[in-house]
Amino acid sequence: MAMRQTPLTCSGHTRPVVDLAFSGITPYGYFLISACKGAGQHLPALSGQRYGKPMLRQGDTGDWIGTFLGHKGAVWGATLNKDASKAATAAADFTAKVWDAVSGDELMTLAHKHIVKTVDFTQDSNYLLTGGQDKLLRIYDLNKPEAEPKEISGHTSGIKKALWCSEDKQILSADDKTVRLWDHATMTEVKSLNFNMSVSSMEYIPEGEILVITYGRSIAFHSAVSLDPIKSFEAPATINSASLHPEKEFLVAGGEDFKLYKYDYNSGEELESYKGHFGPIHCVRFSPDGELYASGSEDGTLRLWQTVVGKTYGLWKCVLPEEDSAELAKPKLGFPETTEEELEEMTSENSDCIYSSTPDVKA
Amino acid sequence: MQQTTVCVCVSVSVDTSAPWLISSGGFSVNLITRLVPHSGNCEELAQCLSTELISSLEHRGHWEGGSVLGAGHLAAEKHRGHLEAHGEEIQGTESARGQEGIAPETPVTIPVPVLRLPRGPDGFSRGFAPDGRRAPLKPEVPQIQECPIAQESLESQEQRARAALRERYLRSLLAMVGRQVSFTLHEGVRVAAHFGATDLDVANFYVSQLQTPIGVQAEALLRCSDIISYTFKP
Repeated sequence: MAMRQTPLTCSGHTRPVVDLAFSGITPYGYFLISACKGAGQHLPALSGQRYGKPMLRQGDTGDWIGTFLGHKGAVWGATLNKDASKAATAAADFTAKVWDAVSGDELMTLAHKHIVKTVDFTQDSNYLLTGGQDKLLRIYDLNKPEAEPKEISGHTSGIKKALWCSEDKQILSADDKTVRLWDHATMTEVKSLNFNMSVSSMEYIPEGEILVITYGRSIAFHSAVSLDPIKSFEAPATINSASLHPEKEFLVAGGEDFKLYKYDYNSGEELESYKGHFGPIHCVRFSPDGELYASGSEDGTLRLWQTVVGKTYGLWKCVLPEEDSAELAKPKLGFPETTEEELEEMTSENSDCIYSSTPDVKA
Repeated sequence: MQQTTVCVCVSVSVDTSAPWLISSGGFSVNLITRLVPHSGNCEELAQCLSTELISSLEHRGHWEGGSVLGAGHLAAEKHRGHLEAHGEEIQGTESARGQEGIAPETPVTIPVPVLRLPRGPDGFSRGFAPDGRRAPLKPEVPQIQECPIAQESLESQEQRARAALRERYLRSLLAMVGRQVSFTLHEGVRVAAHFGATDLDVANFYVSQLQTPIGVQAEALLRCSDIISYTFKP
């Protein structure tokens, strides 16, 4: 029997999810941070306020770990450092914040002169790069938060994305119509690319120094070192975000038609397309191990998708052909908040169809 | 053969008050009404509803994979009573409609099974649970420095008290061995058994002749997390 993709929906945000990022692989697995435009529904005391609430989740299951509370506006950008010990967020309240991603506490608030859109840690987590509507790139020394940041000017429109690259020796930044490469040491522009259409997203792949840029319906790949073009694909609809698999076999992209597309990176062939979101997709990223990808949408949800459909990974359970086909006909869905014990019960051979079970009993 | 045409209506609306239905995305689907001609067999109806729901949701871009099948089945259960009543009504006015079943969807693919859905926010806290995976990484809250000597004796007093209490508890467990113990579990369930042993962490009790509402279990392990209280006569 052919297997059909079962996306896992992570609830919690009710406003559009505009950015998401994975950490590296840590001894505790990997983590995912998501940023949304407005109030999260799950905290009724604060629901009257329309503030973005970035959330931290376990990367392989999508389980919520915590919500970073403190911003007083929509959160436009969110990122984790490599070992997921720190998080950074960029918000419409003219601040970027650095958080302790283990305790959820706010560590630093970095004041800006306009909406902040993008944040990125260096590999050693010592510096934070920010960019936003004030058209300036700022580099903060996180060991000296009181010190003034170094500023790089040159952009002529608001900065949408800024990333460290080439082992933090260079900086890539995208505004509406240009992508620029800067040298960190000299703080000067090295090269730039111009586009006719608005650049919607940018992703940097360190292994291979590849830059993924989306604009209009195009998904383009450039060298991150020279900005020379490598290849590009056209999608059926306007694309807002794309991500390249760590092993560079596939790429996934999503945009205005609510669908996620999966392409073979080498041939450009469209392999799959998935419906599931109820709104335009704003961001999509592969996990650091490439086993799943996450998409964030205008519909307020974050969804996890398997790279290899049918494989046992995270919450997805492989079903062998010998297993009872009657079992297959009754998909074993759990209710949210089930305990580990209930989980074992549900997957046992003798479990009844769970729809007739009594409400959850929490141990 | 005359067919009973039972009219069942299925439509989709977003309703957050019925968490027992599709729970992915925090949306719930409330099945209400749409007209679907069918033969009157409720098992077939479950399949019809599933199929109709799938196509209805697909059409609206609300396709959720495996979860939809479940909802179709469950909705069929709920509406069974309604259908039967309605079916009887229709019987009187049998129509000569032919076999107008809903064509099964082709090709049949199986949605990848999932163990459960991702856990969402708990609704009352900001999370970062102290018992989470990464709890050992949290910095220790520095202790307030009081007079060191007084501090020590307070601590050692506490430690001695803890040791004494633990020793009493362990001895109580020893005294329980071989006795009839009555356990109070969740949901007002009471069971009785002969106590055998506990494990190192007192996470499980090994018991025999466990008297449960559905029979006597010769040997069993009771999870301590399920036990609210227990009592025995030494």
